[in-house]
Amino acid sequence: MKIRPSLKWIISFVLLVSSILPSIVLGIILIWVSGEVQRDEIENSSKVISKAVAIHLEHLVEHSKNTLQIIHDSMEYGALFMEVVPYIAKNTPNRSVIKSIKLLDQWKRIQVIYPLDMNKLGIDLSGLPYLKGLKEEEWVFSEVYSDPFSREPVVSLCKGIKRGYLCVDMDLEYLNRYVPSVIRPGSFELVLMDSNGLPIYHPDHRMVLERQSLANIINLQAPEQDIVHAPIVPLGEKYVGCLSLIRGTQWHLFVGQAEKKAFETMTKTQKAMLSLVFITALLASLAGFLFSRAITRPMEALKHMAEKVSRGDYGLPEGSKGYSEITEVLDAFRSMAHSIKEREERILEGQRRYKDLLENAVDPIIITDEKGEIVEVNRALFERGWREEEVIGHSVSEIAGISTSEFERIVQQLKEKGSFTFELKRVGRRGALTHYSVSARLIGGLGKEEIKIQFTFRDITEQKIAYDRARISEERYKEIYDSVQDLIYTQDLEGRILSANKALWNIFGYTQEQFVGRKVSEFMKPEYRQAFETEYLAQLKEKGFYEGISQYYTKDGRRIFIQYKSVLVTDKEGNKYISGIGRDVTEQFLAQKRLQQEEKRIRTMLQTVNVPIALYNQKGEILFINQAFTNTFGWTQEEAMGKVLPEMPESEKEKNREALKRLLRTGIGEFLETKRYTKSGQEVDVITNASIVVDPVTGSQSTVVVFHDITEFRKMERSLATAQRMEALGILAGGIAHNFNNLLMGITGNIQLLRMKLGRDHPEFKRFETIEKLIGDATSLTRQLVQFARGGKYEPRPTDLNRVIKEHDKIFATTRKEVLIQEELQEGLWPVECDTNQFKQVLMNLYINAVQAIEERASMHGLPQAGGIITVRTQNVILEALQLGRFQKEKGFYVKVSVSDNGKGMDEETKRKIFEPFFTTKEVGKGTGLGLASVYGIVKNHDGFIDVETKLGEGTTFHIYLPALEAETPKEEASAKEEAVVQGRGKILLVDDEKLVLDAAQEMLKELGYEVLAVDEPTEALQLFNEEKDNIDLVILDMVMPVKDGIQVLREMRLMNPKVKVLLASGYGIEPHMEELKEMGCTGVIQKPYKFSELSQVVGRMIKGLCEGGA
Amino acid sequence: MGTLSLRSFFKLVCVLTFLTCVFISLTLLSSCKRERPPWKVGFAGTLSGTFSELGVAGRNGAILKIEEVNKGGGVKGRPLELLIRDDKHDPKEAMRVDQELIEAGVVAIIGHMTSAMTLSVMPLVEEQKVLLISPTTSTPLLAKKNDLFIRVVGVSSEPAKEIAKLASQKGLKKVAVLLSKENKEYCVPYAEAFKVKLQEEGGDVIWVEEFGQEQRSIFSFLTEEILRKKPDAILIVASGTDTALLCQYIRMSNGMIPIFVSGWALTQDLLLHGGRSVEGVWTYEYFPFAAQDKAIEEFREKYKARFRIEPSFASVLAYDAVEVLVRGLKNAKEPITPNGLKEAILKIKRFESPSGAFELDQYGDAIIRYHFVTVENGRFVSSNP
Repeated sequence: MKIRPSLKWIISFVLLVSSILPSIVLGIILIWVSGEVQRDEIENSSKVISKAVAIHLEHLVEHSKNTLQIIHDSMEYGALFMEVVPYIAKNTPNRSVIKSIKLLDQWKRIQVIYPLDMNKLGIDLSGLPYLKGLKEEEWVFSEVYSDPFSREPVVSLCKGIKRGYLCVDMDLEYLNRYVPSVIRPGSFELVLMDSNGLPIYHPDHRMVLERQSLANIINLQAPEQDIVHAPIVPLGEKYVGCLSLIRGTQWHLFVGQAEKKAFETMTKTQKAMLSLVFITALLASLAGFLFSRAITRPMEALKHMAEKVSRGDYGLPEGSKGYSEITEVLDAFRSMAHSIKEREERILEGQRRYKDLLENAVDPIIITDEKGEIVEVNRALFERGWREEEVIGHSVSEIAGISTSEFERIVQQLKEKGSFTFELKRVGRRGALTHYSVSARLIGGLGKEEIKIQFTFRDITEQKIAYDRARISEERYKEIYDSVQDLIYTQDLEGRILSANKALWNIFGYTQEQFVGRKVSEFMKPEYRQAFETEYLAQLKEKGFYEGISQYYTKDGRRIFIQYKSVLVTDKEGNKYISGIGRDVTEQFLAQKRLQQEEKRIRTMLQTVNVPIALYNQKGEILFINQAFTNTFGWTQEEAMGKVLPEMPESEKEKNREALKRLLRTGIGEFLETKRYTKSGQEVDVITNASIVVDPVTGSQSTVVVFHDITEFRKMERSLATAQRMEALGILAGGIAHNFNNLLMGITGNIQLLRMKLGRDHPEFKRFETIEKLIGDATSLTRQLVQFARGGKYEPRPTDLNRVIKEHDKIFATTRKEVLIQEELQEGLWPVECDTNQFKQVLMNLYINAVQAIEERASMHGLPQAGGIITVRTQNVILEALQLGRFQKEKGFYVKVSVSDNGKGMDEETKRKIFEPFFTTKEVGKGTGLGLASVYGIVKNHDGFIDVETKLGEGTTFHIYLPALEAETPKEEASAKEEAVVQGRGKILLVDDEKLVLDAAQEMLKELGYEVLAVDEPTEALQLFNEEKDNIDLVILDMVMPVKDGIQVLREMRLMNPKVKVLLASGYGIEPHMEELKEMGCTGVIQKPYKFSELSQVVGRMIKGLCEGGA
Repeated sequence: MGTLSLRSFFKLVCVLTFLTCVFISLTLLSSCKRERPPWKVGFAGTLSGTFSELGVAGRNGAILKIEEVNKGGGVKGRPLELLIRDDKHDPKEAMRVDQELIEAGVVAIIGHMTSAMTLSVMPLVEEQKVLLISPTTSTPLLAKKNDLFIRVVGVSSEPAKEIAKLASQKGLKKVAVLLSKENKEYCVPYAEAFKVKLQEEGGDVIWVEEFGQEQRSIFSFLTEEILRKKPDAILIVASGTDTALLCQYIRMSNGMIPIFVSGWALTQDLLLHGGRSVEGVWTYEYFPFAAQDKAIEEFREKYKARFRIEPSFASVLAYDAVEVLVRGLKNAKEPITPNGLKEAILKIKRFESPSGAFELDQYGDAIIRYHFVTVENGRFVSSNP
C-alpha cells in the first residue's frame, strides 16, 4: 500500500526547508564565493607583482650576460682579459651584482680572475656540476652553492667559449638588497629560488645563508607551467601565491601572501554568516511555534465538527473561529453537512421509485445476492406461476436454471462490465421450451452495501423461431449462389465488390471476407486501373451495361482473363448497383494469343530468311512474299499481291508447267533449275523448290515456292573455267617465251658483236640495225608473253596509282589526241605494291584496246573518231568474300582502277576469251593478241584480279583490283638506270645450257675485260667451281637448265663457298624463288635477253661487292 | 505518531528545529578545532658559514624523516614539529640556540653536527636536561659517558687507526698532517689516533700543521711548506671544503703524493670544490658509499625528489638520528623526560638505516662498521683499498 506523507511531516519539512536551510545554504555560498573572490584577487595580485619583479630580474640577468658577451667579443678581437674586464665591469649596469669574473681554461681551471686573487688561480672547478657538458656559445646558471673561499652562497653565470669558459659569480647579498628595492609588494612576500629550490633571495636572509631548501614549492607544480598557486610552507606558516619562471634562467620566483593575512576578511565574513544563521534559526523556531498554535486550534475544532457529522448530526453551530481561511473551511464543512443530508433524502426517494418499477415490470425480475440466493423478485414472476416461498431464499439455479459456475462467471463479468445481456433457453413450468433474453446488472455495493445481481428475463421465443426460418432460407439461397460455376457479383458504383459467389473469390484465391469490399481494379495491373474508372464504370453509369475481357492477377500472382458482362441495377429503394456475371477464359485467351504469336514468329522468320519465298493460291496468284523475294526480284508485298510473279522466259514455261503438274499430282516438291525475270527485266538463274500447303481449317490448298538465286554461282563457275584455261595457256606461253628468248639472246649477242666488229662505216651496218630492231620487237613480244605467263614483277614498290595514271595519261594524251581521257581519281588512294613500268604497260594495253574499240564503233556507225572517251577511275574498295568468290581472292582492302570506253563493246563469246593469248578480233597484222593477255598476267602477278563489264554497242569497262598496302607511298621513283657500258676485271664462271647464249655472253664478258670460264652443263660447272672456287669472282647462272636448275646449282656452290657471288639470268620469271634467293646471300638477277650495257653494269657492281636484285 | 496531537507535534518540531540550529551553529563555529599539540623536536647545527656543509645536509635529512613520520600519522597521534637553529659554529651561539630550543619545549635536540659544537653545549644539556642526539659528532672525547648524549655515528679514532694501517701497508711511513683547529675536538684526537697507530706500524707523523680562519688565505704556502718536508703521504683532517682546497694546492705543487682525508670531509663540497685533485684520496668512514647498495639508492632518490640536490652521509645520519628519536618517543612513557627518553631509546636493540642496521651501546654510542672510501670519477666509492 502506498504510504502518504502526513501533514505533520510536510509542515515540519517545509519549515526546515523554508527557514533554516536557506540561511545555511546562503551562508555557505557566501563564504565560498567570498573565499573564491579573495583567492582570485591574491592570484591576480601575485601575477602582477611576479611579472614586475621578473622583468627587473630578467634585465639584471641580461646585463650580466651582456657583460660576459662583451668581454668575450673583446677577447675575440685580441684584447687581454685583464685589460678589458676591469673597464667593462665598472661600466656595466647593475655592476654590483657581479662579484667576480673568471676565465677558465679548457680543463676548467681558473686562468684569470677579476678582481685578482692569487689564491684562486689554478683552482680546478671541474667538480662543479653546472660546468659539466657546457659547450661553446652555451649559457648556464649554476645552482646556489657555497663559495669555497668566502663560504657564502653564490650563483654563477657561465658561457662556453673557445678553449675555455667565462664565468660571473653573482653577489647574492646584492640581490637580496636589490629585489626588495625594485618593488614594495605590501602584504605580499617574494622568494627567488634556483632550479633546485635553494633561495637566491628571501625576505628572511637567513634562509639564503642556511641554504634552506624550498624545493617543496617547486615540487608542487612543474616549473614550465608559468603560474601556479597553492598553499605552501616557505616561511614557517602557510602561504598562498603564484610561482613563475624567470626567463633566461632556471630561477623561480614565488610571490605570495600568508594565508592568515590573506583570508582574514573571509574569516570575519564567515563568523558573521554563522551568527546570522544562528539568529535566523532561532527566529524560525519561534515563528514555527506561533504558527503551529494558530493552525492547530481551529484544526481541532474542525475535528469535533467532523465527528458530529459522522454521527448524523448535521446541526453544526454557527459562528467563526480563528482566521478567515479557517472560517472558510468551517463554512465549507457546514455546506458539506447540508449536502450530505440532501443526498441521503434523494437516495431514499430513488429507492422507492426503483421498487415501484420492479413491481410493475412486465418481464420477470430476480434479484440475488453475491452467492446466487434470490433475495427479491417482482410480481411478473408470480404471474408466471411462481409462489414467493418457492423463490425467495432459493438458489437462482433452481429457478432460472443458471448453474453455480455459470453464476460465478456472470458475477465476475458484471464486476468488470457492470451489466450485459445473454440468452437463455429453458423449459418453462408449463413444459414449453422458452427462449429468454436475460439482462444481468450489478446493483448496490456502495459503501458497505452488499452487492446484488438483478436478472431481467424477457421471453423471445417467437422472435427466435422467425429468425431461424429466415436464416435457413438465406443459407439455401447462398448455397445455390455459390454452386454456380460462372462468376456472379455485385458492385457498388465505385466498382467495389458488394457480393461475390464462391467461384469468383475462389478463382482469385481469396476468402470471401478478403475479397468482398475490395475494388476489382486492385487485381489489375496498375496501368489498367485508370481504364477501369474511365471506361468500365463510366460506360456502366452512362449506358447501363459493359462487357469485355479483362486481365487480373490472383492472390498467388497468377494471371487470369475473365470475360464478363455487367449491368446497372436499381433496387426497390432506388439504390443503384452493378450486377454481373463472368467466366474464366484464361485458357482460350492464352491459346489464341499463342497462336497469334506463332504466326508472327513464322512471318518474321520468313521475312528474315535470305532465300526468296512466295506463297501462291490455287490460281497461282501471290498471297505472300518475303523480303528476300523483294530483294531478289524487286517487287514489294503490295505490288506482288494477287499477281502471278515472277515472270519467266518463254523457253522455261513448259518446263515449269510440267514440274507444277508433277507437284500437284504427287504432292512431292522437286528442285528445278530454271530462270525468272526480275522487276527490271534482268534474267536470274534460279533453282525452285515448291511444296503444297493445306489449310487445316478451310482445307484450301496453296503452294509455297522457294527460289534459290544461283546467278552469281553460275558466273563464278564460268570465271573459274576461264581461269583454269588461262593458267594452262600461261604455262604454254611461258615455255614458248623461254625458248624463244634463248634464241633471241643468241641472235642479239651475235648481231651486237658483229656490229661492234664491223663498225659504223660498214655498208651493211644499217641492216644490222634493222635486224636489231626486229629482234627488239620480238623481245617485246616475248616479254608480253612472259608477262601473261606470270612474267616478272621485277621492281615492286609501294606505289600511288593515281600518280602512275597521271604520268601515263599525260604521255598517252599527246599521242592520241582524238580521244578524250577523263580522270576520276579518288583522293587519298591507298598505296599498292606495284611495278610502275608494268602497271603503265597495263594501262597502255587497256587504252590501246579502248581506242581500237572506239575506232571500230566509229567506223561501224560512220562517226568521227573524236568524241571517243576513255574514263579512268580509281577507288578504294573493301571487298567481301562473296564478291571475291569467283576470283578466288581473300576479302580485304583493294584499290580499284576502272578503265571505261564508249567503244563498240563485246558480245559474251568475245568477253569470255578476251584475255586468252593470241585471241584477237582485229584484222591480221593489227594486233598480236597478247595485249590483254599480258594485262591479265601482270595483274594476276600483282596478286590482283581483273573483271570486265561490257555491253555490245555501248562500251566496255575493265576493273582492275590490286591489294592495298598500309605503307605510305614513296614520293619519288628510283632514278633511271644508266645506259653506259662499264668495263671491269675478274674471273667469271658462265653457266648456260644454251650454247648460243653461252657463246654470246662469253664474248660480251670478254669484251668487257673479264676472264670467262664458260660451261654448258651444270655438273661440269660445279666441278670447275670446286677447283677454281677461290679464284672465281662471279658466277653467271642460267635459271632453267636440264638435270639441275640454276637454284640447285647455286645451293651447291654455296656449300663449297658461302661467299660466292652469283648472277642468275633468266628468260622466265624468277619471282617464285625471290624469297629463297634473298636468304642465300649476295645474288643478282638479270632478265634475259639482256643488253650489253645492262650486263656490264650488273656484273661490274657485283664484282665490286654490291649485291643486286635485293638479295 | 497517531497518538500525538498536532499541537504537541508542532511544539516538538519547534524544539527540534531550535536544537538543530544550535547544533549546526556550534559545529560550524568549532570547525577550526584544535589539533593535538605536536612533538617539538630541535635541530641545531652549523647552517651557514665555513662549516655549514654537514649542518645543511643534516638538516635536510632530518626534515625528510620528520615529513615521512608526519605523513604516517606522527608519533602517538601527534605530529613532529622541527625547530631548526643555526649554531654558526660558534660555541656561544650554540649555547644560545640550544637554550632557545629547550625553552621552546623540545623533547630532544638533533645536533650538533661537529664535535666542537657538541662538546661546547654539553654542560648546558646536562644542566637543562635535554636529550642531544647527534648525527655526526664522532669525537672520542664523548665516548663511554653516561650523559644525555646519543650519537648514531661511531667514534672517529677507529677509522683514523685504520688509515694509519693502510698507510703503513702501502709503505707510506712518513706522513704529514694538516688539521683544522676550528674543530679541534674532532681533529686532534683523530690525528693522535692516526699517529699512534702509524708509529705502531713503524711509521711516523713527520709534521703536523694546524690551520684556522686566518690561514685559509695562505693555503698554497701551507701546502708548499708541508711538501718541503718530503712526506710519503699527507693526512688532511678538515671539513670537505677545506680538504678540497688543500688537495687542489697539493696537486698544483706535487701531483702524485698520496692523500688521506678524514670522514668529516666526505661531503658533496669535497667533490664540488676538489675537482680532479680529490680523485684517489683515501679514508675510512662509518658509511658505505657503495653505489649498488639498494637502500642508499632509494634514500638518494627520495632525498633528490624532495630537495633536488645530492645527499651526503650527514643527511643519512641525521635521518637516522630522527629515527632513533621517533622510536624512543614511541617507547617512552609520558610525560616524556630526557632520561626516560634515553632509556627508552637504549632499550631498542637495533635500528634500521639506509646505510645498514646499527646498534647503540649502553652509553648511547653507535656500534657500527666503517668502510674504506675513495673518490673515483667524481663520486665516493666504497671498496677494498
